[in-house]
Amino acid sequence: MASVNKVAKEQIAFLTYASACGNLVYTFSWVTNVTGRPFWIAVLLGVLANIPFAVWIMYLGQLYQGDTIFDILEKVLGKFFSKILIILYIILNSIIAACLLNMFTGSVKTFFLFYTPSWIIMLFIVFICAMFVNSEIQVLGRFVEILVVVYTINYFIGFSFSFFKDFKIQKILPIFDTTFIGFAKGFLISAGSTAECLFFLMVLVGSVSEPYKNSKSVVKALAYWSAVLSSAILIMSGVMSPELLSRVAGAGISVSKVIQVGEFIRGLEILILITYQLLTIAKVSLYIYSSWVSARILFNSRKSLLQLILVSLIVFLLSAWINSFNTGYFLSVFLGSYILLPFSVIILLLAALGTLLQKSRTGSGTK
Amino acid sequence: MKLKKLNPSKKSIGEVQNDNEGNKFDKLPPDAGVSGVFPTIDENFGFIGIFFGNGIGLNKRKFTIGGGKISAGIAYIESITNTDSLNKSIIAPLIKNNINSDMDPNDIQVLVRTKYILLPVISSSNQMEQVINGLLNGDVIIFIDNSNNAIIAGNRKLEKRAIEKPENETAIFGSQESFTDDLKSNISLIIKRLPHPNLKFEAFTVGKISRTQVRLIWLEGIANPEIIEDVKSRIQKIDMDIVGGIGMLSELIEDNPLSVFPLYKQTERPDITAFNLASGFFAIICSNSPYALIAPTSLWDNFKTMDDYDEKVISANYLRLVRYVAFAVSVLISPLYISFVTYNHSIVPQTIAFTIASGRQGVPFPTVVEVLLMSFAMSIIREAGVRMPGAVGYFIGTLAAVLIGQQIVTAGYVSASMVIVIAISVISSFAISTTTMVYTSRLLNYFFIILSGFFGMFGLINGVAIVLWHLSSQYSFGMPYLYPVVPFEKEGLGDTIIRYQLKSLRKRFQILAPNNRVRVGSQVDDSDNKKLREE
Amino acid sequence: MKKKILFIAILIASFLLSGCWDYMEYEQMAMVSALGIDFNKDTGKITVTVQVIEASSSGAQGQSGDSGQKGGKSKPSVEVMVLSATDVTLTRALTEIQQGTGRRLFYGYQQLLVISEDAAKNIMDEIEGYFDRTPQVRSTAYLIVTSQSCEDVLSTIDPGIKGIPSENIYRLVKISGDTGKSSAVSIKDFSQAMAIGGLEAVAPRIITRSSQEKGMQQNENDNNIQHVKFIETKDGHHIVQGIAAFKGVKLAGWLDSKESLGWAWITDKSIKTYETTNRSEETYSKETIDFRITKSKSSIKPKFDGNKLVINVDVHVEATLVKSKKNSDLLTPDVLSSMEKELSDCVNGDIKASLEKVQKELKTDIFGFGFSFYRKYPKLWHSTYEQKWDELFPDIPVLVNVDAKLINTGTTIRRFIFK
Repeated sequence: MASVNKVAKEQIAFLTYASACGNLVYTFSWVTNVTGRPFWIAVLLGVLANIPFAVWIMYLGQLYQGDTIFDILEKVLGKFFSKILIILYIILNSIIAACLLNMFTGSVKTFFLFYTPSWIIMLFIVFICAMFVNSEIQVLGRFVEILVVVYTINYFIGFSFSFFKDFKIQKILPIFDTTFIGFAKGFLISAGSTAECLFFLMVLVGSVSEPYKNSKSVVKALAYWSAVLSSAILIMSGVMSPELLSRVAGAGISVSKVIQVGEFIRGLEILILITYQLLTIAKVSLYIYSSWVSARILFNSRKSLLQLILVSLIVFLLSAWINSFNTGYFLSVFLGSYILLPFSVIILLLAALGTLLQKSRTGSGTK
Repeated sequence: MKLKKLNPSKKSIGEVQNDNEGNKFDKLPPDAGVSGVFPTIDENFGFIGIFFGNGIGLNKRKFTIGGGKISAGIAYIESITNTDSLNKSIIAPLIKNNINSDMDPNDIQVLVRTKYILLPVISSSNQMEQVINGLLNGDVIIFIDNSNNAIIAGNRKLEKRAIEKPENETAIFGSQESFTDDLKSNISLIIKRLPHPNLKFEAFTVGKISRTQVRLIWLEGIANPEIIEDVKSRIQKIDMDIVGGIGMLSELIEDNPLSVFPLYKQTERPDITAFNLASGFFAIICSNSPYALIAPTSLWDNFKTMDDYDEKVISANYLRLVRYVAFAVSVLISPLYISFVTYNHSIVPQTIAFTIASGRQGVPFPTVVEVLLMSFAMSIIREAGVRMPGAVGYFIGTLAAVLIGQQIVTAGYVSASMVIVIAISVISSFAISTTTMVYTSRLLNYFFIILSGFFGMFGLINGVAIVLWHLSSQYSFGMPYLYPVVPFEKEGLGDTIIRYQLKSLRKRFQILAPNNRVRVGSQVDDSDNKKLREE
Repeated sequence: MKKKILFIAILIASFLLSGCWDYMEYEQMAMVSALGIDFNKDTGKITVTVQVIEASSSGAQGQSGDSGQKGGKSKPSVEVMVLSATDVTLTRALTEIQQGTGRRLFYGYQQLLVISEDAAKNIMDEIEGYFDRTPQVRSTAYLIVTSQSCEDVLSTIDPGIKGIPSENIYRLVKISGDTGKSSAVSIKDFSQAMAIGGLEAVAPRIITRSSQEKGMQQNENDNNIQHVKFIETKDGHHIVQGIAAFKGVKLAGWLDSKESLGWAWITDKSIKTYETTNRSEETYSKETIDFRITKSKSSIKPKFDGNKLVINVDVHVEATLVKSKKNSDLLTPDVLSSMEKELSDCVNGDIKASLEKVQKELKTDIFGFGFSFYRKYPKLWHSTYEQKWDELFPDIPVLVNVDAKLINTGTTIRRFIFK
């Protein structure tokens, strides 16, 4: 039986896919605001734009088999510098996790559980995600695989009921009604928000055997996600018109609320809740996992359970402190626009430069 | 804590020897005089008479053999020995044949053993321990006067049932034979279905006191050797005083006894066993147990029955889907009911909401409490119906139907819609083919009810996520529990959720049969067999 | 292993901390089935009227239920309670209504939102904002406008119809879309129409005729004491007829049935109704032809005729013949085409009446001409036309082209001749 520390082949694709479905499913309405009608194209291209970086990570992983990017950084830059970067990484990871958790909790509180205090919802999710993460990566991979399949299929089931009744092509058709700057802004926001997948891949690459050979799965996963997301939001804008869509925050849920087929089928927003909840669970597990693995590098693998609890606590406390859908939303937009992608690129550049320097110094080939 | 003072009996039944530590049962006491067989028959008889006491049915007989010069004695325990063949195969030849009385008694013993006794299993021993064990196994012990070796002749006749119809796993079209409590009959039932040289049996003995015979069965060349080795080591590690049957054995060797999901399959049908053996699974049978254990299993194996393969493809798939839906319904319908009625009201259409709301008028309990109480009441009724003998069981069924179904609702203690939901849930849980899964579904149902009672749909989805994670993390003897679906294997899907035509079941699972995957077609690896024939 | 048990134990323990905040049984909720909003211009106060329904299990009571059922539970019947409260803002009025009922108001089954004329003229933006933001009210609820008071509308129950009264109105509104006399507009449609530039919102109109003008229960003079009024229900009927046209967030005016039909023709609402030619005839005449419309489709095409903007409306109608003219004996293709011409004239008349009213009088673009223009010439729209559309709209020439087709003449080729 294969070592359980390595991820199976198809799980790489699913894990990448799950790591890319993050804040963008909530914040795409901001892209609608900024870009106007062709926002779904901006999202499509933005997600695809992350593919080269993902392949770059895989390539770096190939040079150092079995090491995460942070291990590589430790080797090329020395402990002190890399420790600072790891701490920054964990902080950023936790902030994005807190944003996602806040947006999810906000939607749940608005539509489903009105009076339950937010911290209970957040605590529940963080708790079970911590429990899920505390197992081998293969188990986590399997679990995320199931979740991904379920929530992707479910994403469309809810909309398909309204598709034939409410979808009007007029709401979509004059597509390219926007300025170049608007489009570029939308594109950058989508690309930046999807950089969360790069964050996760930096850690995953340590558990992949032969990363570069498996980079096809990564490319496929990101391509699928871009297709899925853009078609979903295309349908949403067809049902709800982009003007309205730019006003709402929990877009998918609002759209599902609208569905009423005859007198019997109604209230299908509960089905969409399944999608958003499973998505949040998968993503938060991945956040906690990546923070945990990097924390283990930081503390040299002592008492890993304690580090897990610490990392989860950080996420929970941050999100309970923010405790507001709006703050989470705008913070996530801000992070996506300016910080996530540049940070990843900087880390990758440092790793690549460091590798080149090392190679030229020692004058030998790869390990 | 002291025992209440008991009255010692006046008559002593027989002295059972103790050793210094008060250990009576493990081995023969070390100070049994000699640890070997006594030279004279009388000493031997005396020893085993005292050792066994007079309650077990020990028969001892002394006679002369070989023309009247040599004394021999036989001892056996009457209830477990075949007394017919005793006369024919032991006593008669011994008395009839002439033996030279000048021979050394040990040589006489060898002569008797090798030539005169007409029973197939014969050994000799000079250790009293083996004599005692032999007697307990139903063997006949033959002592030759002045010889230190006793002959142990295998002559067992154990009481057993005839081969009957399977009680708990009915199949409409399949064979109607089921395993019995006798190990030999079970072995015969399997061999006759797979008369192939690669069918291997390996014997183990587990349980210090019960000394249960266990047989591990697999098809050499098909089953994964790593899994087989792992199972062997697990069986050898068993440390238990009594292993009463397959159930206990399974628990002692399984991966995670605390999981609610069954990680192995128990069946009383030999045809399923044979089919699974050919697919690369292994089977374990043990004495005194009419069930066989088949492993490794996946979650999907719990929904298969032998009827699936005996019926037409499409009907069989339809029935399998019915089982899956039944499982989902039985686990999810009451939590969904609770969350729709108390937390997420907007999905309920207005007319149904009215019916439920008017049904709930005057009901004193909140919905969650209602559901829990009724579920538990249903479990109690079911348990009562199962344990009570025939006629009383029917009475309980009628009583439950009338009492609960009608009167409680009319009196207004519970609402009618809720009773309907619970009834659907319980009935669906019986549609699942594996009995263990029925209990699993009830437990999962309670878990989800509690979660959805607290958080509504949100809690229910979290519960589903927890169960999914639990499923992904289980291994059954090395195979991931969700096997062909989650570590995805396209060819394995031929017999998972639905089954393809038998012609299309081309390959066996990767994990189960890594060396011999192709099942049908010209590529079937029958090379071992060919070698055998050529030899 | 131990860790797993620990995790599960903590999980279970955390349940004990929770208090089931959102737990709501059916007995604890008051289902609101219709909500009406009134506005008093003089006092500047909003009156909110709420129709609450309760399911009762006994058969004899309630507005509609079977009597004489013995034992057991009979079919659930409906009890209706109408309350109203007046206050400065919407939410305060709703709070007062909540005080009047012992249960939490639940909006999940709300099917109607009734707006009075004054409210539509003055506070529509707040109403729309409130309901757009409140997810508890389903945005598929229908929005209707009335020129009477909401209290009248909501307290009038049709005695012949069993079931929930607001569901009755809901069905009336829905069917009116088919006949073209009005149109079903949900809150979501309304918000969408408001959000889209170049399209103005409409809402169906309801007219209530009550048999007993019983009026309110208590005096309404006391403005200082905030209280909830319990309104007695009265018998009566509802008719959904005509639409209310909005300009921006204000009610601009009413369209009667003929004009609504014209609007429906233009905006491609699928109409299944009867049409008669020569409607000016006062008495039964053998000259009129009756049709049943089976399919209608229209498209709006803006075009530049030189420098001038012209809107082309192409309507395609398919109909079945129900009653033919006196003179036509054999239904030859010539006869058919003359009938088709009469039908298209008829439709044309509706459209013209509607255009006349909307363009000249109401001056609000409820047809979506602006939106179609935007779809064809987006740059022009953004640069020049968007801002000026309100001024330009009344004068835009509209060329209507109706293409009527008689699909079925029943099963006859000849007229039925009595011998």
